[in-house]
Amino acid sequence: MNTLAQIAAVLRLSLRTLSQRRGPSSVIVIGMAGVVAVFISLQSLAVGFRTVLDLGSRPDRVIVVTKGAIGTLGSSISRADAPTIVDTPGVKRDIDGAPIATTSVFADIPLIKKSDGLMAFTMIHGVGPKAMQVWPERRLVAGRMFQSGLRELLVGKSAQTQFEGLEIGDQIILPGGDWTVVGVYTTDGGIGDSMMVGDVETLMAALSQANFSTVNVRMDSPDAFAQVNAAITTNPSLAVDAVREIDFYTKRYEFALKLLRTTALALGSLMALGTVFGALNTMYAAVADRGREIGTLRALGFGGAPVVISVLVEALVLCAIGAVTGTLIAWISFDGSEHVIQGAVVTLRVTLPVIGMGVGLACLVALLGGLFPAIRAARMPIVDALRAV
Amino acid sequence: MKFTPLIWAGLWRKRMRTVLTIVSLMIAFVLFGLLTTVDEGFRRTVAVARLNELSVNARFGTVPVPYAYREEIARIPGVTAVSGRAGLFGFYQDRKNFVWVMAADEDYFAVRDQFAPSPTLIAELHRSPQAAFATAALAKKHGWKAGDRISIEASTVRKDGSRNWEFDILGIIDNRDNPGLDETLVTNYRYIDEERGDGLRGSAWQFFVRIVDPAQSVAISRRIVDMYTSSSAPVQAASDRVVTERGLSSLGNVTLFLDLVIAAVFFMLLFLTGTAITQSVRERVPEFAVLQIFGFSPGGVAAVVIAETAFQCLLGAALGLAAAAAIAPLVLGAARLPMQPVMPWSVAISGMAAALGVTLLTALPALWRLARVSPIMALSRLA
Repeated sequence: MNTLAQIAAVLRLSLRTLSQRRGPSSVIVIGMAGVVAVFISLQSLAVGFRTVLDLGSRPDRVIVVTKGAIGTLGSSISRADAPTIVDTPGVKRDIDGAPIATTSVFADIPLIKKSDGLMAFTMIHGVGPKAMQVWPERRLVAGRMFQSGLRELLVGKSAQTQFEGLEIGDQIILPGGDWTVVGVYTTDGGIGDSMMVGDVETLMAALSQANFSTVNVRMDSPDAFAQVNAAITTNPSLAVDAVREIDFYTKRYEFALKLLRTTALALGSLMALGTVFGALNTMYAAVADRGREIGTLRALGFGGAPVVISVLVEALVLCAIGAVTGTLIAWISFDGSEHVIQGAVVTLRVTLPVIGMGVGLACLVALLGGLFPAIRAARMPIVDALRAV
Repeated sequence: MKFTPLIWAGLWRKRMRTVLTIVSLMIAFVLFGLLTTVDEGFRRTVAVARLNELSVNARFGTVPVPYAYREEIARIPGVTAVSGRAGLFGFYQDRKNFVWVMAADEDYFAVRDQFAPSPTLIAELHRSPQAAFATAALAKKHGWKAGDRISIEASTVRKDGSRNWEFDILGIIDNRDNPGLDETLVTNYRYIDEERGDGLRGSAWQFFVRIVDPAQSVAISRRIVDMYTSSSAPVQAASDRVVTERGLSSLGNVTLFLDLVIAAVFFMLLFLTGTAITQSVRERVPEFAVLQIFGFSPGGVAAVVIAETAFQCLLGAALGLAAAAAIAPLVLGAARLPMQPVMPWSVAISGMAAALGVTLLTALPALWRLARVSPIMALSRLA
């Protein structure tokens, strides 16, 4: 018999006898299912968060903040400075030659989460007339656009589904009078979906705020960043910084992003390590159980390689069953679920790359847990193995 | 005691299996130790957060509130002290070294007595403009010590148009409730208020309110909110405890998730140990039968099995918890969680209790198996 046929024969034998080792084998399956379920859930949440930020930012958009401010906190741009910033070379202009840019102001407002009734903060973003060109991905799905000068708001789709009191016609209490929700917009999954949008001047009047928080501009191209940045940071009359939109959001949510990623990695690898030892235990026991069987095969002329491979494949099969179970657990329990993290609505999506990572982890566990028992099985002296008969 | 050699021999009969079982138990208890430390840490952070201390903020984001609210809030019955604060956002030397400067008024340390500089130092702070206290963590980060003069480039502009604010470090302070975590530079309110050139003189970012009766925290918070609802600068108010809880819940449902993972780890643990022990007992059924023939009572045989299991579980748990205690400062420090990065003794104790529970639960199926086999049957298999 050639090696391939030998491998096939040994493999059939080991898989057929698998049901006799059901108890110990389920250690691998259950352990692996737990590892993969936890790892995939956390990793998918981290990826979901990243996706929200990626979809919500464009490489050709820049946020201008006061030097020293962290995010919008402590950022304050005067009415005198705003036109200078907007007029910077490198800023995209529309057909009328007007710069595509807007001044912005932000108000954090407390809302009640539908899921647990707890209070969470979300942002009202006050924007100027060019806003829909700065953020062309914000698209109205219900109601109408707000009118400048009026206390009217658009709400993001995710904010509407997560928080109470954001239906069209609902009133939001702000100083100086109520604001009415007049429309719903979506950015198809971006961070903007977790916010609300209104008129910048009206919002500043309501908050009795004299300065803008930030200026947001579209550039001619993503490569214009160096030009825009140089122009505004070297202008001695300005004390501002230009930040790419993606960097701005990454910084803002850095803590939560890092926490999710490290937890997924730390928990996943520690649990996987535990499962490796469980798998070693199971596979050593399996090899010991099948001592006579393996001895007999070797006496009949089967080589060492088919034995090694059959043990490894058995470990792989068990880990694969576990990985599939774990993936299903994560998928059924969490896929599509929405989580409010630091005011951002994040949709957990179990995606193929994450499943791939989970399966990779399972394969690694199988190889580490199966290799040494496999080698022991192949090295077992035939005479000793047969003596056990 | 005389059975010790018997138990010892049983344990090491399959050396590899015993070692592997102990190692996997150890890893499970490392996880248990770390996760329970985080869980406890969150609970402790909420528990030490005070109910008799309220914070009052602008209702809508970062809108400043008139400092004059302070007098009005102080007149509410049940309120013993009110402190208003302003602040600066800035950096020290490099853009990366973010520093949060808090400008506290005379009553600050009366409300927040978890920071306790001496009365002379407090008087000194309010006497000299530019004086500041650095918290221990912040001072350590930048290598500051008392007597240093430092300059912070802030986003708030000064009267003279510059953005550089100078401070003389008067002393190092720390939060007794949660040492080593706060990173703040505390300076005096008058200095910042008089020097600021952004038109926000006479405003505050926040008020801290000390009340007599913690049970009144909700009622007084509501009263403060109601006082300013129809003003141009409405506020929100809540006890320190509520604010802390809200901060944690903004990270998603953390504690529920932790509890789920701890439960999953435990289930895997039980299953893994249970299977290893059952298998080891199954292989030795004839030997246990021999013991019974020699006069061991069924209880005696059960004791031997339980002792073997207990040895593996307790050793694995002890090693795992010790390792968790050793790496907890590294892991929690790296994650920058708002809690003390130390594994408390209560975690070690509950871990060992859990190990005892695992012992009993996993020994049971093995004992059940033994009980069903009569010595005669077992011996016939040996023959």
